[in-house]
Amino acid sequence: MSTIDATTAAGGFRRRRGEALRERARSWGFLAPSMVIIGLVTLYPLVYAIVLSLQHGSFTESGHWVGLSNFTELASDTQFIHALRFSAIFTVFSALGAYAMGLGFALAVNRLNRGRWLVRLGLLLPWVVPPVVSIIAWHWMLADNEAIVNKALGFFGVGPITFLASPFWASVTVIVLRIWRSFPFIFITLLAARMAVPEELYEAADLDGSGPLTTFRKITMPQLARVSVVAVLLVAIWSFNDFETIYLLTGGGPANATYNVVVLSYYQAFFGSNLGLAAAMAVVGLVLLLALSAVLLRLLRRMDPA
Amino acid sequence: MNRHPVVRKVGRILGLALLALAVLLVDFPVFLVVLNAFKSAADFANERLLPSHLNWENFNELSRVPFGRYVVNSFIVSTGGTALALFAAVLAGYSLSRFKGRGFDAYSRLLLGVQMVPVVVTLLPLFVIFKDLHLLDSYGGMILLYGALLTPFATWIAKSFFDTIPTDLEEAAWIDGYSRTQTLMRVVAPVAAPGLVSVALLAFITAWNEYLLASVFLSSINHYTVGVGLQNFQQQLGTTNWGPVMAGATIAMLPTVGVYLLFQRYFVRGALAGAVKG
Repeated sequence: MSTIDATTAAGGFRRRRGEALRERARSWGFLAPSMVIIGLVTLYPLVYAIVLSLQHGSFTESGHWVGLSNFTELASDTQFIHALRFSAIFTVFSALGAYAMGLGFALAVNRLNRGRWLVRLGLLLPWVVPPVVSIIAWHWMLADNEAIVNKALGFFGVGPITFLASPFWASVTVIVLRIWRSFPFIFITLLAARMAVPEELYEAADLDGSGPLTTFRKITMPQLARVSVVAVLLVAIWSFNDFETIYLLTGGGPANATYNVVVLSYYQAFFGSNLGLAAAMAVVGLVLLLALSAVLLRLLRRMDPA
Repeated sequence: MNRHPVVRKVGRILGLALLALAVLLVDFPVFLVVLNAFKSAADFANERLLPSHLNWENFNELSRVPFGRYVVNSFIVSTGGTALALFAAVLAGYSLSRFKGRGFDAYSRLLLGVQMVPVVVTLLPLFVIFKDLHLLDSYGGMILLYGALLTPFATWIAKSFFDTIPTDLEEAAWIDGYSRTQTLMRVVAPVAAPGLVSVALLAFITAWNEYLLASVFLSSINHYTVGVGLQNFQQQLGTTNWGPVMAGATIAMLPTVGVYLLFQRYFVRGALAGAVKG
């Protein structure tokens, strides 16, 4: 990577230390707008959230310090524990499902000689459609026993399934919808990575007489490993933080089965009596997310060719 | 693998058909929205998959709410947020691409980390802060929120595009007596333009599709974005009268889907620049 070192490059042209210093100041000046925006609208509120989590208060009365009691309260809050569990299930199954689907499509599309752009166009569509719109579409498809999916299942002699009314099926439904929304990202990332694998590797394997399963295991997967970890990490983060899919489709129900931490925290904040508790939920979620990222990034570093 | 050519050919065609079917299935919910938008009440009652005729009644129903206003609002806050993020991201992305040092590394890592923070964490404090600053329920407030939401990934993508531009151009410009800022604006930015289009495109689509922030920070119906307005409309009509909702949904996705269909190449390039380098 060719990078101009500010001090030497500018110094080289002007041979003046004052200019070099000014150059350095300017380089930080370029960062200033971004720092102001992120500082004010993300970092300051983040610190504020941590402060709130240590207080008891509401929108109308200002908070007073309660130490860690919001967190100890959460530890015995069955609804929160349930939401944590569902967040974990939702994140893991969404990420794995989206990965399987994205990988399958990437490998299939890679084999196409023609019309690749058209297929790609179709497969990226779920990503581009506003979540409110896609959730309305799914809602209509699954609304009741007369809805189109149940009609189709009935054709095969299955169902009808109460997709949105049974706790189990509602959980499955939000996960499937989440997979549908996130697989395009995995697909496009893996397709690019797969297309970058040198063809010689496969030609050599062909000469050795390796079958498709062997080449997949020995060539394709190792070559895609790094990109896979990054893509899965990103999708896991988005799934954990997903608000729309659950809030708009099931609202956390039925029987509180599909509350995740994010949606529960939202309800607690705007309809509960204690802002501190809502903030504490969100903070716990963030800490778990940091832990997950740390684990996956460690895995990534271990995969680095030393 | 020595299979008979006919077997191979049939296998290929079967594979293609299967792939085509899978793509249609994946896009089925999106097609349904458009089909449903043109169905009459009778079509819904008869459970037709396709509308019996091109029926615009559902679109007329949208006049029951200020739907046009929602669309305009979405344009204002999405383009405003995109412009703000692009401004911050071009400057910061260039700086992070060209200067090295511990501070710069730390800042680029911070930008990555910030994207992990769930919106709900900052939502509460932001609500309290914006209330004090009288930014609730305003375009300015939404633009600021979207600017902050988009800046980290926009910066990251912009940086990765600047990284691919050789520095010779800039060195020549300095010899000609250009300053840093002049070099960026007159020499580097034009070369990076296709990349910056990608950044703007991704940012706009993300902002247009955003729901949570808009639903919390916009309270008067005349300020609603399309997403919030549509959701509100669906709740009004319930699950018995879907036609008008589907018409609204069709309009709501038109800008993002349209922009995507027109600039697919830029969209993909931007998406990959953000992910693969991460």
